[in-house]
Amino acid sequence: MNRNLFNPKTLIFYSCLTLFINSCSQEVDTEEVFADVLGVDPNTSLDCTGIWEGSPLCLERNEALVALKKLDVLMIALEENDSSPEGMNILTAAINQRQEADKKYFEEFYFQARDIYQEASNSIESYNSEKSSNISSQILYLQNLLDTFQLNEAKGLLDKALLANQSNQDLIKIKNRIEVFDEVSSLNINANNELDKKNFSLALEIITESFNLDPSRKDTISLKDKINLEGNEFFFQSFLKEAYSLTDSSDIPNARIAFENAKKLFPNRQEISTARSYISKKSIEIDLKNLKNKLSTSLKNENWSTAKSTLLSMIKINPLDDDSINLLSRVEKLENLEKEISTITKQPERLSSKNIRDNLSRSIANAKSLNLKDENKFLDLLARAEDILKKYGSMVNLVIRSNNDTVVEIVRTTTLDPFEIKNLELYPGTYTIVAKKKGMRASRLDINLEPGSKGLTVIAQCEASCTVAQSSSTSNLNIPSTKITQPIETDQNTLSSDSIPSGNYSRYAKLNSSSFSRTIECNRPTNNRPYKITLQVTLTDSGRVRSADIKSIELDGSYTTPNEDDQYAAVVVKNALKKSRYTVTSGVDLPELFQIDQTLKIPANFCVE
Amino acid sequence: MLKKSIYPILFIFLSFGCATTTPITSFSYEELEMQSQFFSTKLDVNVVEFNPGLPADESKFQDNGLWPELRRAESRRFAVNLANTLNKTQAFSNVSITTDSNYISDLVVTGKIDKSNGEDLHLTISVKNSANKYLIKNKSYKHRTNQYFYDNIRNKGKDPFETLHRAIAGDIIALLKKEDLNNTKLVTELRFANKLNPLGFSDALELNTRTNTYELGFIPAEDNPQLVRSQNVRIKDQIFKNEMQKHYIEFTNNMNESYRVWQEASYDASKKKREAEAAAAASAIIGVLAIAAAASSGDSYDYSTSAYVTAAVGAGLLANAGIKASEAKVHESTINEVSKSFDTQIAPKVVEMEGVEVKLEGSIKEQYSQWQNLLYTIYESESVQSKDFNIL
Repeated sequence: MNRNLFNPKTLIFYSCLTLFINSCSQEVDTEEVFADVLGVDPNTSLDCTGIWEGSPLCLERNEALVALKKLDVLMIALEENDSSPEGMNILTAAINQRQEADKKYFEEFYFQARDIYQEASNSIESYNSEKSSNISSQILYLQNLLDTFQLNEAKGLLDKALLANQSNQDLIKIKNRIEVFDEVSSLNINANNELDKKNFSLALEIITESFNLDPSRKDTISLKDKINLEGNEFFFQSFLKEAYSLTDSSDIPNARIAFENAKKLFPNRQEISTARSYISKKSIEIDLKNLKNKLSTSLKNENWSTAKSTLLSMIKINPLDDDSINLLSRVEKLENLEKEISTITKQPERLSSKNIRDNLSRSIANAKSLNLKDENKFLDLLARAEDILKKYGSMVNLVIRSNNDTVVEIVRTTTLDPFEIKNLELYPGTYTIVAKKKGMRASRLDINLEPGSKGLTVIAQCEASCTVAQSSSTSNLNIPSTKITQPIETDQNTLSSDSIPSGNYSRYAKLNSSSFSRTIECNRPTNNRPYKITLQVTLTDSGRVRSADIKSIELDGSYTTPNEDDQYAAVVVKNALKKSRYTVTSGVDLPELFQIDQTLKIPANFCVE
Repeated sequence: MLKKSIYPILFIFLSFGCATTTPITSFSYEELEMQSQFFSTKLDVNVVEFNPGLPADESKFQDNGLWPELRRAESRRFAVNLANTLNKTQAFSNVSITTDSNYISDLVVTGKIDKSNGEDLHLTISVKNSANKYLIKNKSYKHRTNQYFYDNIRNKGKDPFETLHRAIAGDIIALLKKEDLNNTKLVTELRFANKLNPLGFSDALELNTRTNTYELGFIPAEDNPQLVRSQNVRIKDQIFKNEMQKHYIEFTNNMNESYRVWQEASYDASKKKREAEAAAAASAIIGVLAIAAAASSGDSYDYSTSAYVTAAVGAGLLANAGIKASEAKVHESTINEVSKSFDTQIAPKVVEMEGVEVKLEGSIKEQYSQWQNLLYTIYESESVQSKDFNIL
């Protein structure tokens, strides 16, 4: 059963009963109630189901309830927000209309109730619309009054406006603005005073406080902008001035800091690019001046590495500076030559090596070609180097006594088959003498043949064990000495295990190719790369090979590390060469023992299966 | 006719009647240690991963009852076991397992698995010293374990074929007594130096082409800077080998339990099969005797009967392999997995020299190979003084 469809007569009965009971109450409820217990409840549900489904009467009733809901909302809003006389009148009229409509509702004249509810709603909406328009214009007017400092008039108008719409946020804001108006005005005056005194920071601080109190005050906004603009301009000019001043005093790092500060304020101002160019130009001038001073000092002190780095910096600044480029080339040569020459002169004993002697001679010649004049230190070094080279250019005697059962090796110089005594002439310097015999642990001794000395005697022999020792006995011997001469350059040739070429390989000694090819012994195939090998071969005047030592291996035009297979192929060639014979040119006065450099080209995969 | 029939009988007797493994002689660890205490120096040993003894034709794996993954695992496991045994004798200095017999050491032990079925283990062993001289050349070592070993709870975790490994160790120690061990060490040192610098040490050793052994040539002085460099590199080589041993130990530990279960199950099956075959052979002998009798009486005989009997017994054996076999089956995948993972990849090694790091990657075989190449680089960068070196 739908309880909302009670018989109206029954409802009137209960309503009368309620009124009667209430009338007996001692307390009178003074609050105005526009939806009393006799009125229609706007929250009544809109239910047209069950037996009411499709009923026109039920539909009309629902329409009436919808109109009532709308009216109810409008009335509540009006009562809460509008305490103006106009508003009260409109509300009273609406209450009356609603009561009338409620009556129609209960009489089941739903369509009439609906129309009256709608009429009352229209009246309120029309009033609201008119009022809203009034409030907007009032707000504008109020703002205008505040902008023109008409505070009292603004206060009166605001009070009236608030009566008609107490919850209007714009009016509340204006109310707040009025409350702080005097305080803001005072702050603005202070800020302005500070601005006049060019106290930009303080002025900005005060105006910011003022702005936070009333962000809508036009005079505040205007003053704030003015302070910012004048302040920025002031600081911009100050930073620029400082940047120029620091540049002129050659303090480029701080000048750049001041410049950057100015740039942050007005990055696109013409003054910025002008200042940048000025600072850069001055900076380069200062840098070049400093670099020239540094260069001059380093050249005077013959500090070539500093001079080189200074010149490189100068060329970086001015890549077209030909003078600096030419000077750099000379300085680099001086640096390298000084390094080479001083390294050798510090260890003159290394001059026993032909390569070292050759390098020193070459370096001295190159240094002289540079026409040295003011380089006093370098000239002293050259004089010293020449002196050392001269001293180390005279051979010294080395007598080696042995037991005719020991192989004696002078490391990287020569290997001597067993003998009893040898009188050798060697260039001064350090040598390592090794006494060795198959199956026995070798022994080594480093000796130093002092230039200009009478020489040394060394006993190198393997008996119970191998020993090498310097002898205190004098080296005056009545046996002829053998010069360990410089290697004789030979021609190059290409060799392979199956094709041994013929022809002259040396001006003085020719390799017997058939003896060489016969002695090549490969115990395993090699996967070696092609390379050029130079061996130092010691020959007797009859063409017998005394020793063969590998001097260098040249891979792909440069001296690099040979791998295992490269090395194995080299050992095969070395061993073959040791067992080979040479044909010595007749009619040439050669010593009993002499050395040649034999250069050979080793093809790839030298040993094949 | 009867005389002719005697030959097959004798053949069968010889083939099956004596199908036992001759016991090998082995010493206790204490005895082996005693024997080696008069060695002038202790040698380093490389035990190379064993040849698994698998036929080249994979289709024969099944016919021969071979499980290839297991055999490959055993090829390392037995090498580890032998290395452990050699270590326990206290007769050697560093015992390392390697992947290649060409890696230089004082002694290099190589081996091949001829038979391994839980009951029998047959290995062929060779031992060469650094001079290339064979101390043991292709010697066959055989050992058969028994049920008692597996049943005895005191043997839990023990290797049933340790006796065989001790026999090998005993042979090596006995042979080393006759060798000049200092000479062997010197040859090793020179071979290593020659490998790194063939030019510098070309005349240090001479290869006797007749015996294919190395003989001492001109031995470099002890203070030869190149030799000192080589010695420094050799120390690093030993550090690397020691590092690699961890992988072998880990590998053996990972498969220990599974392998033990398999081994015990395999023992049962192998023993039953062997006994069945022996029984079939005995039947065949009776049959042959019957043939001989029949032949002498002129009766005919179906010669395929004995083969049929053997086949029938073999099938019965498989069907009655029992609980142990099914338990072993569970561990099959573990053995397969451990074996395969060892073949694929081990943790990369980062070798740090003087602040420069070199990474070795891949399987243990590949890392060993990369290391050989790296030795040259180390030698090149080595000064007389040993430099900073770490394996991370």
